[in-house]
Amino acid sequence: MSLKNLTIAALFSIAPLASSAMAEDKPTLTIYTYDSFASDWGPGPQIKAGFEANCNCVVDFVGAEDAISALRKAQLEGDSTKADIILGLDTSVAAEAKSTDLFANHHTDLSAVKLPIDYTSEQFVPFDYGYFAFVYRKSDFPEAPTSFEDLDMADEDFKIVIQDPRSSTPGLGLILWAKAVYGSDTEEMWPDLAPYILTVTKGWSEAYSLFLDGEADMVLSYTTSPSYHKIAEGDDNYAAAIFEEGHYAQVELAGILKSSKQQELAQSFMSYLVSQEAQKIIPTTNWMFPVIELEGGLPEGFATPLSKEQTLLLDDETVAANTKAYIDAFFAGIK
Amino acid sequence: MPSLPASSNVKWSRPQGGAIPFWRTPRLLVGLLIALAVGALICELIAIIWQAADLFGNEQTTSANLLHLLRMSAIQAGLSVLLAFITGGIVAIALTRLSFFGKPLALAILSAGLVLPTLVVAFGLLAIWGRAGLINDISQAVGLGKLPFTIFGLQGILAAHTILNGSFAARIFYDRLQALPTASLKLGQSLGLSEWQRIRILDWPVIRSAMPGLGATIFLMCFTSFSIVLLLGGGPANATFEVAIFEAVKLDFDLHRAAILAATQLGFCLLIIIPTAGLKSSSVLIGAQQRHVWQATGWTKWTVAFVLFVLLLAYASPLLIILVEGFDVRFFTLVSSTKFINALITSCTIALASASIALGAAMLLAFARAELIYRNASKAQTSLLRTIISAPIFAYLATPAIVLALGFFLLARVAGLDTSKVGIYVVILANALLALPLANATLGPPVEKIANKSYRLVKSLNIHGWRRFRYVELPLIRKECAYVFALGFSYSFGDLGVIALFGTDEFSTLPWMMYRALGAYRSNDAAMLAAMLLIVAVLSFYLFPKLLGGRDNAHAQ
Repeated sequence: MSLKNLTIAALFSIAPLASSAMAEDKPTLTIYTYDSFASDWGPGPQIKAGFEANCNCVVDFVGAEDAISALRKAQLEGDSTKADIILGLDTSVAAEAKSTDLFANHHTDLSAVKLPIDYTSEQFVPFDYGYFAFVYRKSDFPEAPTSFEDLDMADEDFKIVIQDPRSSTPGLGLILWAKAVYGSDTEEMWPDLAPYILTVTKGWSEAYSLFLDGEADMVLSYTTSPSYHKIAEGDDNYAAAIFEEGHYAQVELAGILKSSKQQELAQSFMSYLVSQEAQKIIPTTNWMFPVIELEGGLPEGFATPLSKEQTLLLDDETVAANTKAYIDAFFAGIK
Repeated sequence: MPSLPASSNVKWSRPQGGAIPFWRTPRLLVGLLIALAVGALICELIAIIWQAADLFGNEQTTSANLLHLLRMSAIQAGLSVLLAFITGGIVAIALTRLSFFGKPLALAILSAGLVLPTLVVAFGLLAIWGRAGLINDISQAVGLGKLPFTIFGLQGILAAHTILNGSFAARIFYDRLQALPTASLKLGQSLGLSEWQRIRILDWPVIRSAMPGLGATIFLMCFTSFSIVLLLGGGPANATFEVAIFEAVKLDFDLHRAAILAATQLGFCLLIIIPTAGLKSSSVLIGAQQRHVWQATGWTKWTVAFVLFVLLLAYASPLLIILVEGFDVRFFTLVSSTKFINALITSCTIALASASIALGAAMLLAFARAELIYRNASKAQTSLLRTIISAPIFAYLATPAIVLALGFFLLARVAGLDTSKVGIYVVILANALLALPLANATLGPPVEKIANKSYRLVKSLNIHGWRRFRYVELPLIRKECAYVFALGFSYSFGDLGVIALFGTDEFSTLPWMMYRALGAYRSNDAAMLAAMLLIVAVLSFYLFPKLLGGRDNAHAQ
């Protein structure tokens, strides 16, 4: 239904609006995801078009505020949920998602998938990944910090902006990153970092805007963020500081709901999601690394994946069991 | 008619009446029903989350130090109200002393800050006062070095809140001052009142009468200000209650705790609001839009002009820079795109519908309170009924958006509605409820003043119901109604907080488009959309009063 019809209907009718899918005979595959995946700038529209070309079905991306909201929504809807697939969960909430017992086995052939860390799951299909990193302007720092400890030795004026681990994925990523690097010494690391933290924002967007506006010298983001500036804006002034200790990885996942009545269709979508065609869309729309080796390689100017040695990831169960304690320690430490 | 200069020292002596049967007073009944419906809706939204907790969700531990969070938020909100009143009062009084070219535009800009998405204003503030802001740039260019302070911290939060709410307070105070009868002003002028006497005798009683509703509204908006506090807070010391609820709902999915936290915040806020809700405005001064301007002269004039200039600049500069930053060669490409036009249509639809609901409800509530005056209700009954009518409408503002989103979602499901289809109706209702306290703070005082002034006339002529509305009330509040509509319109332009769970793929609004652009690295697009939002807001404050406000001097006394 076009938007014009929608608004007119909204103005003049209190009757429930007719669904676009109902008008057609094709089956609808409903995918709950985070808003920026489904939006016009994200991979959603291209992936929808690509899969619809062969599936004789309609793909309906439903964007929630973030992936965890999409999961909570499906939980609240229970068996009556329209969702067939939840897409966009990541490794830091995978165990929590698994414990809801909502997800079926995906039965997807993942032999082509090559991740810098070992990640296998019966329920979840990885579809992209990235590394958390601090992004800076090359013009500000001829010599970028190469470790967490370098951060401690910066000027008094040096400011970084990070995100709240309770409401933002990179925010939580930093906590897990620090844990993976420092283990039990993490609690002593936070007070050292505290003087340089400009502010702790609710989400990634606000933090990144503060950085772009020049309010902060560095922002917690991804190693692929400079790729956007380089490829989309032709601006080579941004770079991610590569730390000797390694970088924490975020693997984004999709899972099929048990309640879905279209298991086969959902499974074929999963196969499509890790195919060359779909993976080619990921780098310059979601600005993350594809999970397979692309024919013809990554787009020119795109960041290069880190080696296995540089990649850090805590296992799902550890994360699920301790996240709350890690977050509390972080807040106690930077007070 | 009143030729007395002040209300504070001379009161109309009026015998206190007895209890009135409210069930035989339609206006009162309607007002009570609206207020109770709003109150019941909020209670239902929280209750349904509590119920759902038994079916879904996790059992978890307790969360952060609640008392600490409540205290911090209350201090911050209280200081914000104080600053908004002080700066707003000064600006309003100064505006009545001067007439100058561009005054209508200045007035339109005064309300614009409040209705923009708060993040936009915060970034505007940074563009002026931040480390890489305009003032620092100028100061460094002329060799003065960096500003000795940072905008991050409590000072930044207060500054942003003062820009948002102080300008709104200035606008409300100014409208009240404009309603001072010409006769009083002329009398005061001929008596040669000094500037200080004029403020104390004429201005202060009028300003004070607008304070309760306005103060409560501002307090709540600052108390629940989530994104500004986190953006400018400079660390977790300024964390808000809302983050704790965010954590409970999303990360932990502990719905019991979410419901308890929401109820705690609601209860705490109402505890502060209720004492002010029963307050009765005492001023009897009222007039139609006046043409008489008692101008300041001599050095007073220049002092007033200087103070006004500085404060207006402080209010307006963070907004003006949004326009500057949004100026881009691709502006016309963006505003002619289908995506933009669709979002604009949706935003306008939502805004028109919500503004109509908010205006209608605010009028009915104001009439209900005025009825207590017309019916000469007893003091005790007045105070009780006023509280019942006034307090619930603040409940929406005092409830965290994420709880409202969750509650509406569950409610729609229990009602058997298709959640992917009812999103737009929920947004309209939610935005109307969000704008209601603002509408109420604007419309309440003038309606009651009309009642205070004309209740004898109305009684002796036996003018009731529709005729009273048509011939007594409407002509005098038409201008305020137009302003309330403009306020509701631009305030409701597309806050989508409540449909986080409903799914937003089918429609997009301008603010939502802006957030999406920010989330997709497109900061230029976001800046252009922010500028567009500001233009719409200023236009609506300029156009709606022209379209709906009637002729300036219509029905003047």
